[in-house]
Amino acid sequence: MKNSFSRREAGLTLVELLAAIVSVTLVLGAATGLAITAIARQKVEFDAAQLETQHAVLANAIFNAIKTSDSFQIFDSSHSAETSSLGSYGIGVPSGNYLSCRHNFTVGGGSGGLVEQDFEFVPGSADRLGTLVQTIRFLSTNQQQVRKEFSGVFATGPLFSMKNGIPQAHWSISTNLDRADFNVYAMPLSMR
Amino acid sequence: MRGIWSRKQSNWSESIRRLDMRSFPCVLAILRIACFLSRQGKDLQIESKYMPSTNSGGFSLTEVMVSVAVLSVSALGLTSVWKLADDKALAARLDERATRILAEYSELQNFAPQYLLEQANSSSRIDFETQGLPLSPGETRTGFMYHPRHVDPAGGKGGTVTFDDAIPYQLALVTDGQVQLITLTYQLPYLSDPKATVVKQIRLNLRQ
Repeated sequence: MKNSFSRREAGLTLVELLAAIVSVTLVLGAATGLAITAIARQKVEFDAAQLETQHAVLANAIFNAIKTSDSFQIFDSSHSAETSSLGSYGIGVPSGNYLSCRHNFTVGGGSGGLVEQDFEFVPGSADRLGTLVQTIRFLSTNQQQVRKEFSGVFATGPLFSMKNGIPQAHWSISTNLDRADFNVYAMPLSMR
Repeated sequence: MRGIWSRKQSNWSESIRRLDMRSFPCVLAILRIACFLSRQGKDLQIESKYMPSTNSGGFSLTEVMVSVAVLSVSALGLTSVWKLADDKALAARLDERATRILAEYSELQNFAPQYLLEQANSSSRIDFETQGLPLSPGETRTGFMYHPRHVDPAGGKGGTVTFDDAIPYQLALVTDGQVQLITLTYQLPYLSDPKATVVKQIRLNLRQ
């Protein structure tokens, strides 16, 4: 009799093939699940850190704007600020949601210029959540103004105040993980 | 000599070399992996007559299953890295916040109106962080570094987001000769003492 065909030497059996497919599927599924979860967690952490960093930069900008200002004023809102003229500010308030800081500068020995940095809290539609808007205006030239928005802000009261005779700003942000508080105290160089 | 034999004598090869592997397919699979991975294991030889007869062509089902189990456990072990990453991210954020608090008080201590320094401040003052009051010498204040989102234990999801207070910190002002020392102390939640305690300090010149 001729040698019979050996089925075990021909390749994999159906059971082995199925077991291999199930095993590979299990491993790939677990690996994919782990990767997706890790990416999602990383995104939450990254978004929270990014938002906090943006507001830390904003806090630093407010600090520097007040500190280096030649004059500043706090208003209730942008409507009140519009009463200001190039020569002087309008009537301000002890605390409000609009801060304006002006800086005089000269270039070389030539003519001077005037730059205004404004910070306004614009309440949003959601409860207490709003946006802080930073605007840099070049009042003595026709240069286009610079505008930046910082979202996710909530404040329990007016953002800017002159409490205890110190210009200050207080606000909080709500990240996906937690709440971060920002407190800025800055005394203008001209008032020291 | 039967079963497994070793070119070099070693304690573990001596102890297992007399085993007949046909009765222990799981052990055989692990030993094969060990033989493949370890330098010492490469000195081991497995006599073919003591191996299951169906193993001449490749891995058996048992070996594959054991491998899958080992890989799965390893993959699950990787999740412990997440906790380490979370802890380090939290430590970095706390460090940044501590620096911000110290910068605030640096400005307050240097430039707040003089009459505020003469006010007796209570360490139990509520919401002192937004009051803008400088520290008096020897005064200590406490607050919280971290405000995580409140999670309802019952699983309910209310409309309003609330935050808890976690990771208390202590702020103290000490006058030492011609300098003022502001010290901020807090504890990292994932470490045990004394490694958990973080102390950050700034030195200020006394006001003239």
